[in-house]
Amino acid sequence: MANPLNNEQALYDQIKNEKITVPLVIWDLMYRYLGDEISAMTQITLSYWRCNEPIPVSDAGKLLDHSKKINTVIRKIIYHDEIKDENEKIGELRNINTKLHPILNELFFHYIGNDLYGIDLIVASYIDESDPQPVPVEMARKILNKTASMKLFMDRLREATNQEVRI
Amino acid sequence: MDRSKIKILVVDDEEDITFFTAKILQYDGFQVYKALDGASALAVFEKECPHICLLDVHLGYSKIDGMEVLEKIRKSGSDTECIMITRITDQETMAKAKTLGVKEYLLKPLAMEDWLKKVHAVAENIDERSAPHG
Repeated sequence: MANPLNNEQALYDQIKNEKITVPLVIWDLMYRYLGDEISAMTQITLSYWRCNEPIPVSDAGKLLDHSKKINTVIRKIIYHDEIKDENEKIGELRNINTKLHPILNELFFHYIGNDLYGIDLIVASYIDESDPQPVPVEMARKILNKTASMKLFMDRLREATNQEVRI
Repeated sequence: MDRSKIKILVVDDEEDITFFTAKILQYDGFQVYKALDGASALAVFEKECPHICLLDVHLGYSKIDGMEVLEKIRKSGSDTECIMITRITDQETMAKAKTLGVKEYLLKPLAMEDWLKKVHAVAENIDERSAPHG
């Protein structure tokens, strides 16, 4: 899990006090696209961790592919980067140009960014082109902790920005 | 509980989610079938009469989405337990699914083993009442 920001509580207090929100359409897209990619990373990793087997190089490579897609979505939402790959299913995001509040950007960048970076580092350190190796089981647990951490962050931020849940 | 007698159909348009979810459930001893779109899901449903269907609401570019699959399963009179996979922002769909008898939702992003506990709980109930299928 990404280390908490020093001013984390202050940021969440500011979100609450200033009633900073995320448009519902953005939340919807984020849950749709990030939800799929984070879920895929979870299921790939969990399928090996439960069997107590290392993640083979080919499937570890898939983790990096999904991570890249999450990065694309985050960069689009935070930086409004252009999405160039026409084949990407994240096409609807092309039309999103709503700027998020800088505090939300900071939180996204820190939490999702660091967890993804952590996963990339773990995986890349094993499947390095010169001598690719399976990702060991104990590292799979670390990857699962990071995917769970991304979900927790999304849930916490959604609640903080007053996106009510009515199940 | 003899899991090997319980058939589970996993339906998600994201291939890695479908494939690896199936792998996890197979490891746990269930009979698992997979589909990446609505039409394939219905074809497998008709052929295999699964006890449980893990059904993603949004099936990408599939002509038949998860809600339609759910409706057709219900109209067939089957007592297949459907567990919908959706996202927390999709309240309207969840409400509709509830009226169609869905008892459980798996919310994306899926994390850790929480989703698996729900599937096991549903499977346990099916086994206890020995639902006739197939």
